[in-house]
Amino acid sequence: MSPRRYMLPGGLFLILALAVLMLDFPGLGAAPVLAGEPAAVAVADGAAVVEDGTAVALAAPQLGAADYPQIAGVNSRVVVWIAAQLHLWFAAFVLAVPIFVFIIEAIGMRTRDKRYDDMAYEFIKVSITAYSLTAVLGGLLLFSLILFYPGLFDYLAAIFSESMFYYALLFFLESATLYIYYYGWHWLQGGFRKWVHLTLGLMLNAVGTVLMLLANAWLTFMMSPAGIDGAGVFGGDSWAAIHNFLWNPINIHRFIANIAYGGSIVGAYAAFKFLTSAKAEERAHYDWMGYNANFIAISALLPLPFAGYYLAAEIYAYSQQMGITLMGGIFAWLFIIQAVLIGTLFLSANYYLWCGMGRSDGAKRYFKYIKYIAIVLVGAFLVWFTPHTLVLTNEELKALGGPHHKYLGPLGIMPAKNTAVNIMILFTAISFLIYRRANKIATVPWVKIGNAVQVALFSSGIVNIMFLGIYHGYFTNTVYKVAASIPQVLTTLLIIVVSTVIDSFMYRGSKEVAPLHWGRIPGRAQYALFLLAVSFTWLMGLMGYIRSGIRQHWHVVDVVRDNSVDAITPTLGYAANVVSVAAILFMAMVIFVFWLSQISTTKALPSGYWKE
Amino acid sequence: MGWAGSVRHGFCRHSRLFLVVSVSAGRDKEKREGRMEIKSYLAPFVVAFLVCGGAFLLLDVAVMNMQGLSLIFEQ
Repeated sequence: MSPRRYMLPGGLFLILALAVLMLDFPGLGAAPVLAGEPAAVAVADGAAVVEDGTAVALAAPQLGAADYPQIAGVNSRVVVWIAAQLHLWFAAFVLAVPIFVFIIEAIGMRTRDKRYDDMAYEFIKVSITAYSLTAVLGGLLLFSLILFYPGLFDYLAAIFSESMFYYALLFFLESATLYIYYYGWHWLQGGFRKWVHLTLGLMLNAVGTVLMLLANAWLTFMMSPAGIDGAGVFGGDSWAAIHNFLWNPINIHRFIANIAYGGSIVGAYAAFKFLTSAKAEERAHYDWMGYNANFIAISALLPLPFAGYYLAAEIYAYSQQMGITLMGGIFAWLFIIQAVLIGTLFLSANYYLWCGMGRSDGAKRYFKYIKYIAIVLVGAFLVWFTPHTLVLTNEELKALGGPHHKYLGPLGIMPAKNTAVNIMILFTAISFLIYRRANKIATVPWVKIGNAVQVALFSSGIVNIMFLGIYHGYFTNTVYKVAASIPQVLTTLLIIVVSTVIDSFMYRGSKEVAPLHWGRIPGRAQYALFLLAVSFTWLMGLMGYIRSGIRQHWHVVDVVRDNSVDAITPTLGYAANVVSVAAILFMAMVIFVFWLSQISTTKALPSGYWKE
Repeated sequence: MGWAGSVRHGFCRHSRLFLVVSVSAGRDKEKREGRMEIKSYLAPFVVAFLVCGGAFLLLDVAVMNMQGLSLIFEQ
């Protein structure tokens, strides 16, 4: 039987598996009795009132000192904060890796290049140990919440009882699928078996994504509660609580960010293996792996600022007060750190690509352009992290004549930053295009026209982005400023898509300059991959703190007030320290995971220990 | 010793003149080819720039209109 004959039954099996996952979950719809008549139910604070034996109405609890037990003198907020953050980092990693493992496995099946299959297997191998750590940290978070915040947890568990129950069941399904997917990798090889294996990969991703969506619902309910009436009484409609205002913006942002993050962590793994490998063959393999991981991370990083912008816009739309706290209040300064870190991500990703051009003998043709790309990237980076209002001493204020710098102050507003980030994204795309071309010679007769069209596309697009940023940013009102950011984003996306299409047609049937020399890359490029992983980790921690911190003195915004002694917004320095400690703990655990994968392939042969 | 070296050091007055003429003729040819090269890029670039610019302008107008605004600021 030829391999193509397996495509139809294999594809049908894949669709069938997906259909099973789309089955309706009973209990997640609106409760029949109270969905339309919540006001008719009398409820006590925090008490569940059962009516007609079917539905539950729940009033928002007034939490007191008894709801915040002190255990062993530890700070409950810091414990929950670090446990949640560590769990989230690992969860992001283990949810992302199967997504691109599935894609890489499918590419391997399509191209019949076993290198892809081996790489996909190695990626999933790394995530197996991380998966156990995710579960352990999830348990730690759950126990921390039950022990330190019992009142709040009771309230949330009552609202999300069905989804929490399904979450636990899905977790079993996720574990079972993951273990069969991993341990059956070499067993399910070839023909229909490979299709079964790919289907398991799809199921793993589907279950993992549903798990993420459920957990996202719980946290977004705390930011934008839904399914409750004006008095804060929950009417029993679980779906309304899940499908709250910020659920989908967070879902989109996290889905994309997880892929970027997962790519950066496996990139760090490849860099670690590259630097510790002694054989040239192994270095070539891990160089290739690192390149692919970086490609995945940057492909997801490019649309990520837009997803973040959408999320921020939706937060503003839901509550202007939360929006202003987010970017106009105390947290605004963390966005300056965010800009520095995202700029670092872009610079290190570009630097890795430029170093990687050394693998090709034909790359010399493009070296002259790198300095110009670097100048633009650094320029845009500087604009992005220029603050609007400076933190100054009295002497500095007097010397400057106010908190705004005469020339640099105007660069502090959002339209300038939107313009800068769009240009950074476009120049990173140019780095990718150049890297892709480095080892190729186009043979189509319309090369010159194609190149001219691509240059025109980029230059006219950049002119358009600058026009929108400068004209609407400095000569119109706020409504126009915000509105103009959308055509800016669309311009950037359009340029990337159209130029990629032109490039793929232009280099179809192209000649190779010479075989690529995988492994011919300086060691410092591997440190760029480490930098990528560390920056992503720290960035997620800081931004996660902001997302949670904008609730201020509320556990559930405007519904359940935080009455603990920690119902304050800590200083930025304190928050940054907590996140940094968590990031160091996470990195130590990640190194442990890498080390485990290293020793799992090492065999010691003791002489004279075993009976001959 | 290449062309430039021959010109700098010289073999004799006449040959130097010949070499200078030859080098300058070669440079002219290179310049002409360079100009031709630029021209072969310039025309499609200008056309594509105008087309893409127009397309982006249309995109701006459409997206701003969808948000109930015009591209040019109105009080």
